[in-house]
Amino acid sequence: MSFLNPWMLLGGLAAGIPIALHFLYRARYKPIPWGAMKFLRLAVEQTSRRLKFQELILLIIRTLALLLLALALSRLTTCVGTKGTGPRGEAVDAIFIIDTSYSMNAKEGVQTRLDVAKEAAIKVINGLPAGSTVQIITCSDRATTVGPRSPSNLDQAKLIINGLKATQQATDYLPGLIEAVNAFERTTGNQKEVYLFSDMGRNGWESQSSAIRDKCTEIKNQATLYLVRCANQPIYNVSIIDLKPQTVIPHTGERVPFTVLVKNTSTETVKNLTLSLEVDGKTNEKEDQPIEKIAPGEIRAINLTAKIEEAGWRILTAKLNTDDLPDDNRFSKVLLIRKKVRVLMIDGAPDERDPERSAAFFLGHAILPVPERPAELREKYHVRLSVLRTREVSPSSLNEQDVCILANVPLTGPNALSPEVVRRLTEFVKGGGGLFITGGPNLEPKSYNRGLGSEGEKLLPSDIVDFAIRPENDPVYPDLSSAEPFSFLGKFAEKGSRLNMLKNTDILTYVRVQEPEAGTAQVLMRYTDGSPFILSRRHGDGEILFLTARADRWDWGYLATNPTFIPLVQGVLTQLVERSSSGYNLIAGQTLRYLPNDTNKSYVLTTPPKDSRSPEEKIKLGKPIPVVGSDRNGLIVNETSTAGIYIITPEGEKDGQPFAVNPDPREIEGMDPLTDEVINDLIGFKAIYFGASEESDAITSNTRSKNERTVWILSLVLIFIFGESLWAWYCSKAW
Amino acid sequence: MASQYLKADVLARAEALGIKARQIVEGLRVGDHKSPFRGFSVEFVQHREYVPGDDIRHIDWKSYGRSERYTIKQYEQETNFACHILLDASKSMQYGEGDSNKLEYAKLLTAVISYLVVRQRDSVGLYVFDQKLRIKLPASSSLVQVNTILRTLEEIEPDEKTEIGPLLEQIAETTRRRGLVFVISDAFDEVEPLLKGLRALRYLGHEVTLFHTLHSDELNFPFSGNLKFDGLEIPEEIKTRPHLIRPNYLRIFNAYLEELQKGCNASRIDYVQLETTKPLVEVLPQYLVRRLQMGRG
Repeated sequence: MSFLNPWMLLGGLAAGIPIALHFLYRARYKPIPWGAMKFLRLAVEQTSRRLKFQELILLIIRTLALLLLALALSRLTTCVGTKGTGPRGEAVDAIFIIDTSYSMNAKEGVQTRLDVAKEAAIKVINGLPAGSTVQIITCSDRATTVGPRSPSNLDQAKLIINGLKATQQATDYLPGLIEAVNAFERTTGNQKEVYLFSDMGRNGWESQSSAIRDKCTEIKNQATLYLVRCANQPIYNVSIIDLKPQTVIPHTGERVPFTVLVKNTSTETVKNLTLSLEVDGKTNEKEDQPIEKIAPGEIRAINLTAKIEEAGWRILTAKLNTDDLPDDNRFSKVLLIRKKVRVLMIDGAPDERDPERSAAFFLGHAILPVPERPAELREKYHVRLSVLRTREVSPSSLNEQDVCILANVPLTGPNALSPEVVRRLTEFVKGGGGLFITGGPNLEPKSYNRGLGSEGEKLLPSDIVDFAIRPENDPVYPDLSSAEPFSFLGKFAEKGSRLNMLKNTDILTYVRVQEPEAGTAQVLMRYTDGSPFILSRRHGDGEILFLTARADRWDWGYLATNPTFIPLVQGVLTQLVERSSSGYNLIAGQTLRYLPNDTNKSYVLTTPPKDSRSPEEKIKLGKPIPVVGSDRNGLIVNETSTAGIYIITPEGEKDGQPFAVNPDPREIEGMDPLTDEVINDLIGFKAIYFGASEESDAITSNTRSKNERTVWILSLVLIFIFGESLWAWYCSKAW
Repeated sequence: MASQYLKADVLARAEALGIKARQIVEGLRVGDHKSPFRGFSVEFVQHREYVPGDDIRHIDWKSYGRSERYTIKQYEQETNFACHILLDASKSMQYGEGDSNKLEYAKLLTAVISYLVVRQRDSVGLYVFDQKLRIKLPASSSLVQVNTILRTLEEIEPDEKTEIGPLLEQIAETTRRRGLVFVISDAFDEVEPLLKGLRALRYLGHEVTLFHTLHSDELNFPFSGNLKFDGLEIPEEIKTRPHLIRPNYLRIFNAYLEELQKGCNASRIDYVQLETTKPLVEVLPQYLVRRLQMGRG
């Protein structure tokens, strides 16, 4: 609520006139001598209460009439800012929230949705009354006020709008709405208008619907909210949502299989796509895979191989040929390719007389699936395995290891792992190491829960309850349908895969664990009775995988002798090794953190081009500085809104640390636009909608005049005057 | 006679009509009025049965010869009468400007009546009162009496409040001789005590007339604006917007008038309402005509 002529509110002081007259006339009485006082007194006594009431009513009506008149002259308007009291007449303080999430890069004919939004925004600016101001906020899952420096500089505002580029972040309107409310503080005018230029994707409204509802209500109380639709057609799009090694640890020298997950996010079948995978941008060695068609909503895992020639940080990029939304047609992953993956296995049940009965026996063979003779074969193999008994393990044993396996390791008794090693395990995982815990009778629940579980180091994905023992004729099996598709187990669930044989594994006894709390750990696969089979928990830069079945001798079941055991163990190692690169694979908008070994050097950040016409940018980062949560100095980069490869290089050097930033996958989950009715339901009131191609002038002008309440208030004044006349007449012609 | 209260035009019309007493009054001198004491005059009125104690000289023997019953002859006799004018000089009578001032109007009325009565060779007395009896001029028929009354009237200043009821009873006790009593007052007193006093006079055989002297403002309450009414008789002020209370005032005042008038009628007291804005020259003749007609009837 505000006023177009706020100075006229001073006219409200006129409301004091009847009050002043009331008291003035009461004070100024003409004296008259009178004899018949007895009758007069009686008349006054019988009338005074009624008179006072009548006079009070008249006084109130007259005062209100004057107040309302002043209100009408001040041109009260609703749905506009309450704080604006400046004498700026009909000038508007417009706040533009422009959606720059990557769905706005979707094609609308020859333009993108963002181009449509820009044109619409400029059209609105051109239609603003004289003296208006504009503040521009870009909004994806975060919001930034981008200018103009002087809100009244509309030309600068247009330039800023024309220069806007979409990010690869997801849509969330809440930050933009919050920023818009904050922007009210910087306005001085009487009418505030908030415009949201967007494709109105479901994701943007529903991700924080309750808070959005509150914020929209807050805006509605202070301004007029316009929702400008910038999308007219559905997006014909297939998105690459993940790229990961399969069950082979990426290594040099031969083509390694990878899985690329693609999803059809549109409402119709997409045909004739080609997916390719390349390493370090070497297109000559890329592998292509045609996709004949993919149904709406379908997620498909495509197998591709890549040849990695050198160890070190490699950039794998999957590409899809063009569709309506180019941003998610490219997915990069930075992987550390090790010459040797170093695995330390702690054997909790060694058996020297019969090594086959050792806990490490089958696991060891699965980790090194090459013959023991000749020895060069194992030397050449890309995994180096060390097996130690529990008593032989010291905290330093974990130095320079990539993965540690606890094979049926006791935490209590004479062969228990020492507490120092347990504590070191925590640091090891936090620093990016992988920990694989396998089941067995040595996993005594109390000691595990106290040592690695919720009462101890919190490495166990979930606390152990007991051992579930099944009758021999009623075993449980790994339930492939419960496999987490984005994990290495997704491969085991693929239709027709030989890895499906995993489901035939009889499990007679397993470690029963508590159902993990959401957000702390994830069940990657379950048994057919619903109990967790393999669980995962992330800790720092590393990951813990917990196999609740026994991976050695077969009195708990036959997992170790199942043909899928080797791929299962290789898959575990692959996931754990890949996980160590997770800090280098980010989602657009995430903070990039780099802890270089040499903290004395200055570093330069090379950012990817914002679009095909822009060059790469180099930004000086300077020397590493103290970083929260780390005892080492590091470099922090917050601006990662553009997907692509970011490289941090020591100044003057050629090679640097690459980081892959990919589009936010949340965006593709809700790109379908919501209807006006659904949005109204979500925000709790009727907003004003118009299409970007519509004439915004007519709509905004109409709304502005509708918001002005002068006519209503003048009508009210007339009613009051009429009422006053009636009442005065009723009160013995008091005029 | 050159008093401000004896206006020639008033007197001219009043004289033409004269004052004819409607009742028979007792007089000291033979005049135009009939005596209430029947029996010893030439104008026969009626017979009545003889009762022991009657003077046997008045027995009508002719009637006895016809009816063999002792009867006494009764006669009417014209007499002089005494007129008592009771003038209210309380402060409430001060209201009104110029000719419409109630006290001035009442004084004029007093002077006129006095003159007319004396000219008819009847006697007139004056009682001036407010809360108490302030002046008492015994009845006299000499022309000097008029002068005395006029002088007295000129000297009267309003004072105190009206409390007429007890005073009338007091006056009644001192005027045993029956006659005409004119009470000239605004009668802003409690109705019941006032009527009680008037009835006391009436009980003694006086023919009582109440000249209820009121100003048109008191009758119509035509005020507007913000007024502060200062009590003339009592130190009280009432601030009000009179147009707003007018209906209520009129209702109360008219109820009072109605009660007073009904009380007077019930006690055979002649009630005459005088509005001081109406010239006496018009009002008094009307009253006298009405009075005469009633007397003849």
